[in-house]
Amino acid sequence: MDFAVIWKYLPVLAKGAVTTVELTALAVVIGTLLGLVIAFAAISKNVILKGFARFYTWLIRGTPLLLQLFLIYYGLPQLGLTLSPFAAAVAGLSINSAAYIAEIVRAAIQSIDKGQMEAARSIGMSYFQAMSRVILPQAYLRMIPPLGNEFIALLKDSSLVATISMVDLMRTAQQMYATTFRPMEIFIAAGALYLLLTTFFTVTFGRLERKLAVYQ
Amino acid sequence: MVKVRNLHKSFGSLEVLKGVSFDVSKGEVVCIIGPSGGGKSTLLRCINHLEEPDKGLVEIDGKPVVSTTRSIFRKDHHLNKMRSEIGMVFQRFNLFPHRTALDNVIEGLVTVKKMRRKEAREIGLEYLRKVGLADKVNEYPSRLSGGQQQRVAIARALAMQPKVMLFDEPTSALDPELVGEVLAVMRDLAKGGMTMLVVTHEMSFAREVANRVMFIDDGQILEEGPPEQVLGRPQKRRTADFLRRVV
Repeated sequence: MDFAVIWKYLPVLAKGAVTTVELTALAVVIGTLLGLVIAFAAISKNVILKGFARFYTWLIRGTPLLLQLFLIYYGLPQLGLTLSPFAAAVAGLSINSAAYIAEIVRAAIQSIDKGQMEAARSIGMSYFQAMSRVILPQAYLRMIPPLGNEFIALLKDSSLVATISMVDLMRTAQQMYATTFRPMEIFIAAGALYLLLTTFFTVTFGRLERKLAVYQ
Repeated sequence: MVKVRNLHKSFGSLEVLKGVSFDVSKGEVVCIIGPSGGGKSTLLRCINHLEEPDKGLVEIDGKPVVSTTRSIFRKDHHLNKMRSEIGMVFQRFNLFPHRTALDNVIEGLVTVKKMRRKEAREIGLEYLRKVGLADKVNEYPSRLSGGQQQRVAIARALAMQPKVMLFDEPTSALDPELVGEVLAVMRDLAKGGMTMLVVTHEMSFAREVANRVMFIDDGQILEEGPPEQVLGRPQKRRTADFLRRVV
């Protein structure tokens, strides 16, 4: 073990980490928006929307992320749609995380006591007013721990994009190992960077939970 | 003020309401008694359309309580308006736990009546004072006792200035020593001329406050009349049996 190697290559690894952060951030935002839409479809009374939501989560959760990334990056060009590695990575990660986020959101909303919706409707609030002012603010609190898990998993799973020639933290580490033959140092350094990033999520979500829980 | 005609409601194969009709005039207090599972709560919930009746008619002040759209994407202006004029108090309070007492009370004023917050606060404070909770304005529901929570819930319903108040077993979830404070608020309300429909097991409250008592069992009104008659000299066997069991 030579720690000097770590210091030497850390800046290069950090550059890869920036790509990992960009990918994860985009996938978190797009995946959450998409997940919200699917969650609302899942709890709606409309049979078609409900069916679509069930089908989506069944399909996406039931197949490997790696396969989904391959289909998007290598498969779609066959149908005439060629995406850059970055676009394919964002699409794959977003579509994948949306399925999990939708389930988290759905479960949180449905865990709120039915009396809350009834009380809101009984004073004359519309369905959407009741949702946005009464149900969702309470559901957020219950979503936070599982969402924290999901975002951490997403960040780590983003390492799979290395396989579709996306130069993220993982791929950078692989390249450096190939040139330096110092796998121990390089992968430990990369691991430390992943830990740093996931710790950010852990700390942020811990704070958010404490802040939102004032009323309990 | 309240007109109910031939109300029917089934849950699956279980027929809960089998054609209920009655009127409540302005300022009248009607207590609804009867065994659990007899349809009392369902009747109340049909009046503000929390349950959609299968058949029949409900009118408040001459206007029908009906939904005008099936889609959640279209705002049901008529039904929302009707509901804002019907106060409802639930057995389990159903206060919004993420809102302080005052914010619970003004929620409907701000979101439904589009009142400015400052103006709504004044009204909210007035109603919290009315139910004796002026000192709990900024407390979250989790910090309040059951009796205090139910009084906030009553204030929340009253703040909308409803034409009629529905009470669905408002004291059944309370510890015995807290029942009195809630009944006291309801008694004041009745004295103030509020039109009230109260599902309750508190027979002494019914005897003292109600203008009329309805005994409901098996989805029908079996007997109704002034409290001294229904509670004192019941005409029907089933009413007498029920009263013997609860007293």
